[in-house]
Amino acid sequence: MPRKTTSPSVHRIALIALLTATGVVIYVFEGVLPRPLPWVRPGLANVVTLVALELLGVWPAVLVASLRILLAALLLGTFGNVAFLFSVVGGACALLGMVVAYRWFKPPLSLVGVGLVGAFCHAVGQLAVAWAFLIRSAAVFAIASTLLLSAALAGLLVGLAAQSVARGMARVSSRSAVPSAPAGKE
Amino acid sequence: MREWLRTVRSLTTLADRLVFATILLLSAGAAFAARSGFEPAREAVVTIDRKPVFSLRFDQEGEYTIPAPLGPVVVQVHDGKIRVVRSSCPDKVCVYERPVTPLGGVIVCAPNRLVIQVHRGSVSSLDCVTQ
Repeated sequence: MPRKTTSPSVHRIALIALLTATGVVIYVFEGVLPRPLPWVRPGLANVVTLVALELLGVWPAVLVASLRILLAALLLGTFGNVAFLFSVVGGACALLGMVVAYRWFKPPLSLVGVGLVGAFCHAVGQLAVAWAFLIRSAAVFAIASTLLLSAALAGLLVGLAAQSVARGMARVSSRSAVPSAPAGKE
Repeated sequence: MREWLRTVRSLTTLADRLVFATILLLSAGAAFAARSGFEPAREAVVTIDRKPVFSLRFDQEGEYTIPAPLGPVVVQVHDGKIRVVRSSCPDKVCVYERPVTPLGGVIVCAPNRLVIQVHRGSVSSLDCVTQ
């Protein structure tokens, strides 16, 4: 079927909206998973940030991340409370980590690695919040241990998912970024 | 399983796997750090807004009512474990948390900014404090 061409800006806006919405949904559903501390989440919603980074660039990714955090908080009614703080700090750290990893470390790393870095930064950010506002004893290490484990898994999932999306998009549209996994041959 | 591992290996780079291993290592390290100094504690400290307000000994059974910003929080010491039985917070997350034991553990009630945690060693020298 011949594909109608849409203008690039409309395409970008639609993609940003789609990714943001997906991020909100993932965040909400991630909430039912068991957690060491309430409000501490593995950070699976960062996959949309990573996909935005790969397909659209740094600033759209920042936009997607910020909007996702804001909208999810408004939707769930957690705007301004403790959960929001964890969400913002975790999301911001993940974003920062992923941008840095993406721009400067991507040749050795693939999207999977960037996802792992993002999940790690997300976990560290949340631990920092927990340390600063809630827990000040050796209990934080026990929490750090489970949190890092779930971050490793979440990062792996996020990276693999983002990589699949990037490959799929590259096959569909010539305007998308080239998939970055070195093992990929399309 | 082997098929799955092969798939994962074909999709990731060496650097990716290094990062993954590093995170796992840090997780194990944190677990180790949590276990060192492993003698059981005798008491747990309740803090509100990070200020100690109450000290609970594991061998003193009973129910204790702690005044908290949103209302009283009732804590029970039973069978060497401390748990929250009634709370003034809206979601009651703290009531469903795992009990705090002499080996460690934390219960957090964030709306009340209340934390019950275990101190090993001589971190807190207070016996009992009321607000």
